[in-house]
Amino acid sequence: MKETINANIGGNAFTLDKDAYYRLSDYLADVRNRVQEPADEVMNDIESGFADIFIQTLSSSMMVVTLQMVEAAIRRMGNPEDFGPAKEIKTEPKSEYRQLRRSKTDRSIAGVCAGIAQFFHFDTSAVRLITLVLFLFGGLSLWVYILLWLLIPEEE
Amino acid sequence: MREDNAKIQMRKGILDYCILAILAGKDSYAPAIIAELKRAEMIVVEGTLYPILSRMKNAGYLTYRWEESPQGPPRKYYTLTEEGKQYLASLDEAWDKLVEQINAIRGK
Repeated sequence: MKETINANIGGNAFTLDKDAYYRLSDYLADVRNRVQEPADEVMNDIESGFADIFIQTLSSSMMVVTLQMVEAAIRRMGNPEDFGPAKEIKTEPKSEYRQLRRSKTDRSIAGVCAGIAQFFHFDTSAVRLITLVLFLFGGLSLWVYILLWLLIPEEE
Repeated sequence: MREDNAKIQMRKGILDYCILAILAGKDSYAPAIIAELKRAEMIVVEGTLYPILSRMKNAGYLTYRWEESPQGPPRKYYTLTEEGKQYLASLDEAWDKLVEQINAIRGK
């Protein structure tokens, strides 16, 4: 069983597998970073192109767009490199598949706070400070931290 | 499938010309233009066509209209403008000249 995401691609509603969605949105972000102005217009055309390909491949509108279908459509559309050189150094993809993990590199005790901060895009120091205040004055049990330590897997 | 850079550059150079020539025959939309180019073994990926179409539209050589499609989203049908036709005629001339020049160099 897989989770799905609904998305509007070129004005059409599609249901995509989660992995397929992230693959496609990362691809589109990469391409957008390479196309010349007017980027919006070209990106709309490219999205419509994807919509066209998906509609041709799906036998019914109830079907889900899979990662394989996205990969096949991308092969047809071309590698991001085909659109030209990247304009700016790519930061982390925006729609990165986020998972709650204890940080390996940034840790005071077990990386729980840093992990939470990364997941929610908070500042690590702020999360640590709030946690400490809650321990001291908010009645937060130390066991909560130990429990999270045990439950949250360490990042790879 | 590795191709020499020179060949790739040559194809890139004449891609605009090819697209205009296809549209001179009849109005068309992106996937159909791709099919036509592929038939002539010109390009392999669809994505690179969109920036070219949009650039030539903004240069005033092409214009488009929306047309309903039997299945799926409405399609952008591109058509040559008067300016585009003139531009194509000048490219036709340039091409003939180029072939002549190459032949002269090759000693035919």
